Amino acid sequence: MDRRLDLIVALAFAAFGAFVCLQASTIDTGVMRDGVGPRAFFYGTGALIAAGGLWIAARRLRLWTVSGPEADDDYSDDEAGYPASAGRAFAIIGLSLAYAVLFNPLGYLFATPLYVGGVLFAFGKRSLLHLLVTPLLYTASSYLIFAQFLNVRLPVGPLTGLFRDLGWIIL
Amino acid sequence: MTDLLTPLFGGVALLADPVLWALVLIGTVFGVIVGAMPGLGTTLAYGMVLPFTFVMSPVNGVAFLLAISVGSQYGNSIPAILMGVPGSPAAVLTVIDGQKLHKRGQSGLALGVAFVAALGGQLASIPMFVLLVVPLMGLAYSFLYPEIFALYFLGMIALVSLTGRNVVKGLVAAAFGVTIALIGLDPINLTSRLDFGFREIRSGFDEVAVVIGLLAVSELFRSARQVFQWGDVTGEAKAARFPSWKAIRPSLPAMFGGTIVGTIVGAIPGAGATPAAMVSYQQAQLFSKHPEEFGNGSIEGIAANEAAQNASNSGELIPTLGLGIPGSGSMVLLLAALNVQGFVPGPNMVNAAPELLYASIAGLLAATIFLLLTGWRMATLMLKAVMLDRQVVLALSLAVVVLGTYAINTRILDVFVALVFGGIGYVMLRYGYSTAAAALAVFLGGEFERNLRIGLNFHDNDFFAMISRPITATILAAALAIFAYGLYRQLRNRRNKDEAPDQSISSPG
Repeated sequence: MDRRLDLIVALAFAAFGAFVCLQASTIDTGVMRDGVGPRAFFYGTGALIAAGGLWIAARRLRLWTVSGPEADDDYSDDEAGYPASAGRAFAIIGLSLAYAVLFNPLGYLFATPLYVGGVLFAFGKRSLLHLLVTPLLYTASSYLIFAQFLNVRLPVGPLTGLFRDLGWIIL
Repeated sequence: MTDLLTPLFGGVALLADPVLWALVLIGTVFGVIVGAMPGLGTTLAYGMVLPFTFVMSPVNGVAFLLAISVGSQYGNSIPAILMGVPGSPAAVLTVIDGQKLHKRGQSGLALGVAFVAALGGQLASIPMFVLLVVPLMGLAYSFLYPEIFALYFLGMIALVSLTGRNVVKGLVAAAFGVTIALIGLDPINLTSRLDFGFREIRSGFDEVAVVIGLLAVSELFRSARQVFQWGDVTGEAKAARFPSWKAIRPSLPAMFGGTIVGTIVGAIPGAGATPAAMVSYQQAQLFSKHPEEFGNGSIEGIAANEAAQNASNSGELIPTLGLGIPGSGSMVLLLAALNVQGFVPGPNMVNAAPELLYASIAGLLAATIFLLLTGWRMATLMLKAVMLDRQVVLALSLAVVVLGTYAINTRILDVFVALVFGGIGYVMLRYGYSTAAAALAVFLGGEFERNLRIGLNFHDNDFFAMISRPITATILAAALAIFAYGLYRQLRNRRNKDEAPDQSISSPG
């Protein structure tokens, strides 16, 4: 594991902890008073996160100066013998967030095949079966099961008017 | 004794009804399928079928819904073992040990232990449920905020052993989880806390969405780092033999412990299967002769986890039927179904309609018998699933998680929450911050604070008066005893490792 990234994560946690403590001081204490109060738990957890993050960071820095930026501890649980790509994981996280953004405006029926196709593309799939047939089949079957059979209200974006006219959705 | 036998005989008598069996069959199969699909849990499954229960008799409706719970808690372990994809957050610890065994070619052992533990946990928890639900109706008014605070304190103790290899990172993760759980309205003054003016999170984040993100989505993101096929790693696992009794036997104490812990934790309102599984895993590790195997393919870990999940089904029914307080999201829907049928939830519900208690027993019992006959076959059929294209399964699992999370409240905010916490969980997994500890803290943190503060208010802010209530003091003493014993075991294990340096596992710095 790269100690530099571990250091950054530890410092990010420390910053988050400090932020929680700072924000806790702005919480309205309200009229009803009790022995603990609305801020105490935030102070406690914020301080613990900040102190823990700083402790890990300090330890990392100390070990870095002794044995360089690579640590021998590895938490990744990656499968040995297969290259791992953090870039692919972050690309898929980005695609997933984009899917959530487009879910309502584009509607489930348009956003889902784009998302599934995009994720499969990120996995290196290039065939028509993977990029077109699988996403469309999944989208159609999941929509039928959830929206039509189980009555989960899924947004259909630009098709809302048409579906309403056809009586497929009520609202 | 009569109190115990009457509901049991009542439940068994209902098994003579073929309609009930047919509904239980459908419910169990549906539960196993939903449980095996990432992101779709028991609550969502209940939500999907709730309208169908309105046309059933109350007895059949209750039995049908509980059969779904039984199937779902078993179904989530199968993809966890075979694919490393937890069917629900509760199965995340099964992933850790089950996948290790599967990769070593011991799929049959992992699936077999999960199967026996799920059935054993379910079956043994039924008499526990009957034993507890009847007296609990009498205790309804003595189990107040201080007592529930003590139960949450017991759960908090479990956080310590879920911290993973680096205790400091684990504690940071747990504190992070508690912080997330506290965001929202103050339990005393109802003033908003850390919502930054966003109306949408004024009442806090949806716990289920956060936990799905931390446990399931993060694991899917982590899996996306690599491209390979399951068959390449594990060989062609087309068949798995049911393990011998000798192989299963060492996991029996963990199974027994998991059943007790699962029933008790399941009975705590707001807890449910995920904390039950995690606390039980911790207890099993604590009392195990081989704690070093936990996380490296321990059958005791799988047994404790699976038994607790299924036992929590019975546990959740204790406050639901005994007090009219739903123990989890799915139990809210069970009460909703009963409400539609004209029942009034509350401490007198079972006294007024004992057939509901009988129906619960019948549903749990029939589903367990049905799983006994078909569960192993379902698991071995799923073995063929490892021949599927791994990347396609991961892509579709992500899509199903998004759809399932959206369907909980039909709110896109929950999807964002699950994805953002999935991203955070991915970073935590990569750098050794326990997502399990964070997730358990999310479940426990809010209620821990709420019960402590309201409990203190009840006692004029006298902490000693609060914790010296008999039931509270007993539970707190038990929690502290478990903590002390765990500490002693950890120190002893560390000393043993130091004395045998060749076998030591290096502790990360």
